[in-house]
Amino acid sequence: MTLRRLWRDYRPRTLTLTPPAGYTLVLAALFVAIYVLLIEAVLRVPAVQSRLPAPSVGSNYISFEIALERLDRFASEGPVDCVFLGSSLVLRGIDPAIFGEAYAEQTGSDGMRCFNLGIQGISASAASIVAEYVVDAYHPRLLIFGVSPRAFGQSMLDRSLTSDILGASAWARQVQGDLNVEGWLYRHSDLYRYRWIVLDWLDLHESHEIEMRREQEARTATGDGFLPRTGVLALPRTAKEVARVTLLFEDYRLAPEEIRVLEDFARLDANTSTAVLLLEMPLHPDTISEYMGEDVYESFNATIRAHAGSMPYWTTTGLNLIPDKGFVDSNHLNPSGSALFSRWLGERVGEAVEAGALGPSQVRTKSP
Amino acid sequence: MTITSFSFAGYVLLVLALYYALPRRPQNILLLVASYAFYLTWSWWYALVLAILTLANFALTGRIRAGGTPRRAVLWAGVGINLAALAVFKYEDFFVPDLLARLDTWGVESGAGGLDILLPVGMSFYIVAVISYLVDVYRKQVAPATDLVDFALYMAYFPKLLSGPIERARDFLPRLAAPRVVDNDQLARSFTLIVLGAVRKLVLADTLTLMLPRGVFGNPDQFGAPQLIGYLLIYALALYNDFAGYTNIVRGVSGLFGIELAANFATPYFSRNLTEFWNRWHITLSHWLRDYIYFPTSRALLRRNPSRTNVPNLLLPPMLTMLASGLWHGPGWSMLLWGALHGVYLVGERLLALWRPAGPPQHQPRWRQTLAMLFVVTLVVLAWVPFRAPDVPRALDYWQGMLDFSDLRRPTVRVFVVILPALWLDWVQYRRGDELVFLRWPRLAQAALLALAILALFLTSQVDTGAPFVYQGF
Repeated sequence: MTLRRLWRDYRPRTLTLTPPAGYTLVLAALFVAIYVLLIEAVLRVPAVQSRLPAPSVGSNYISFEIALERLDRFASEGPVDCVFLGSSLVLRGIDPAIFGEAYAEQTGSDGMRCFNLGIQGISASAASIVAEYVVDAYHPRLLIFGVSPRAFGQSMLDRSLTSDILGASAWARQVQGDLNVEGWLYRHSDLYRYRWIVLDWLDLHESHEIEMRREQEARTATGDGFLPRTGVLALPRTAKEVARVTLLFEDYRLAPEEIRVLEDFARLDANTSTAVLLLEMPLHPDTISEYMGEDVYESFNATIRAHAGSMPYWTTTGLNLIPDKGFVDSNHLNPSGSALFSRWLGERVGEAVEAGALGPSQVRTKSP
Repeated sequence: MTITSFSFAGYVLLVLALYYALPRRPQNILLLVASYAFYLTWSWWYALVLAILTLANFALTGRIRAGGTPRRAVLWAGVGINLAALAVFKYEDFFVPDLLARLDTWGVESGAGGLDILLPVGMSFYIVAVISYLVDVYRKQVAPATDLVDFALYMAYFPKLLSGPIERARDFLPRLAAPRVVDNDQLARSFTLIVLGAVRKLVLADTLTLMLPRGVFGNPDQFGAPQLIGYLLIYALALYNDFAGYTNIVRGVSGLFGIELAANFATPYFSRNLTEFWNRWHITLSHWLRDYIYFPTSRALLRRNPSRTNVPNLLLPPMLTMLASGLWHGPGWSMLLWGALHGVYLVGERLLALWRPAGPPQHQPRWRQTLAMLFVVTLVVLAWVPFRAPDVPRALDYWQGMLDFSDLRRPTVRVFVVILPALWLDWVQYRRGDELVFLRWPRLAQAALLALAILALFLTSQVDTGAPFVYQGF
């Protein structure tokens, strides 16, 4: 009975729109598009860009975002022939300018235009994500991955930028093939990338220190990413340095998940036009004998070599390339050390390329 | 489900799709089901308490209507039940620990802790609404609801359930009985309210809240006077935009259902006296307090002594009203201090009016109006200190710190990037005396402003304050 009455009375009349409805909304959508295009255009003006801090890709890791932005600017001014990827050891240890000169002298060519993509505290697994992005976005001829015990060590993982942290970002998911709208926006929209910067600027999240660091690092870095650090390692080591190096190497164990990512590097080496070179970043010789232990060090090198596949792995510590005064601490080079190391590296890479031992794996003909 | 979440937007769209397809009567049933479903997303316990109180109040008003039992006794029983529920859920933290401590001092073993009961979200709002309903039925100012669905919907209607507006049954029930029309104008009004509310809450209030350092009200001694003054102003704007934003959103959402909800704010910081302020700030609560505490107290006192200058007549109504307001906002001495302060302000204003009667504020010269606005804002903002401070001693510390200029650090001037749009928004609404003034703008200007609002919302959409609406906590 009630149902019948309900049905009889059924006259839905609440919504009674008459055309034109939603005209303002359509206009507003048009305005949004105009605003977005205008902002994107302004943010792409070099004069504007040079005054802005590095944009964010939502990684919450400033050093990484600054490095990425520097690489982008570097790439906008010319080709990227090679990239040095790794932690602060790479950032302080390889001067792309000296490397390029040495390479040019060795090969008699124009040299290589290289960028130092050293990112403080990056682990091997996070570096593999960055490597994937670099190869995909810039197609360098050579990617040199600076290998150090820290990047593969278990004990320092909680103080590193790992793939767990970086991989959680939409940007990294996009890089790894998990296509998503936010990741796409991070890669293609300056407005989207600068959104966080505006919020930081407003000092939300109490981020004033973050912003200061952003500005400071952006100012001190060179155009090719190299960020030298002055000073000389005091010997015998200060208590602070002993504590630092002890923390790095005491009970040193390799993290299996970090070692596994060498397969990702090997895949890049095998499947793209980019050759990948694994390069041991030099440690102060005492560091191995006094803190890490010769056996552990040998085991570390053997493991890297075993997982390197077809990629060349160059060890350097045993070559005693760097004198004591070339280190700023137990594992970082100072400008004089980095100059020596970069020159040596440029010459060796030149030799290897000439010998056909270093190039895309598809055309590689000789072993080094 | 918070009202600024995408899940809430999706939920509203789903309910609307069903709602528009139904005739009026089933629409109310749908809204009631949707309201309880919404409340269940918070807690089944909240929904159960609401259902029990709804049935109890429906039965009580039935008894008032039926006569028989003395109506006055039924009224007081109803008011008592509702206040008791509020006391148990909201104020047990306030009085139970004190009571237990007192029992301990008397040597009575009381056990540890309080009752640890969670206050159902929105309870403070629906309890005062239903008390007004009981009183109005008793006074025969409103016919008691005969339809349980309509009455239950009055109590539970989901757009207003969490933090009001506190609707009167005499206004709300007829709207439920009337046919509803959502035409182009209504849709435009509702949409404008939602966008305004979202901008106020997400762009202005949340951003301003994040600009407040943690612990500024808890540890004021760590800040200099310019900082304390600046942060207090930021808090005043954040609080206002938070609650006004919430109200705008829920009024807009309700408008989509063709049901108007009462306005709660009318550019309160442009008030020229404290009475005007209370007619512009949390209007539905202010008017409730006026009608059910201030007027009855005044009338009772005037019956005893009809002189307007009689001291109790001057003092008691405003003081009692504002103390009740403080108590409603939260159990704690600092809230009572906030209420008492406003009571003192209102008493002062009445004394001033007796001493030097002035005409309506709008008839005064512009400069006097401006000075009066600044004076009122200063008083109101100063009173927000105990409103926000965790306790009275720290509220006193805060005030004291505002006078100590030995430390001249100040908040970053970047706050003006948010403060200026907030002030502009209110200024535009105040100047035209219309919260929807933007609808009178040319279409192109409307679209340009709407696009800016969308971009601002997008920009701040990742700002996670982790903070719910302030008034949800009351």
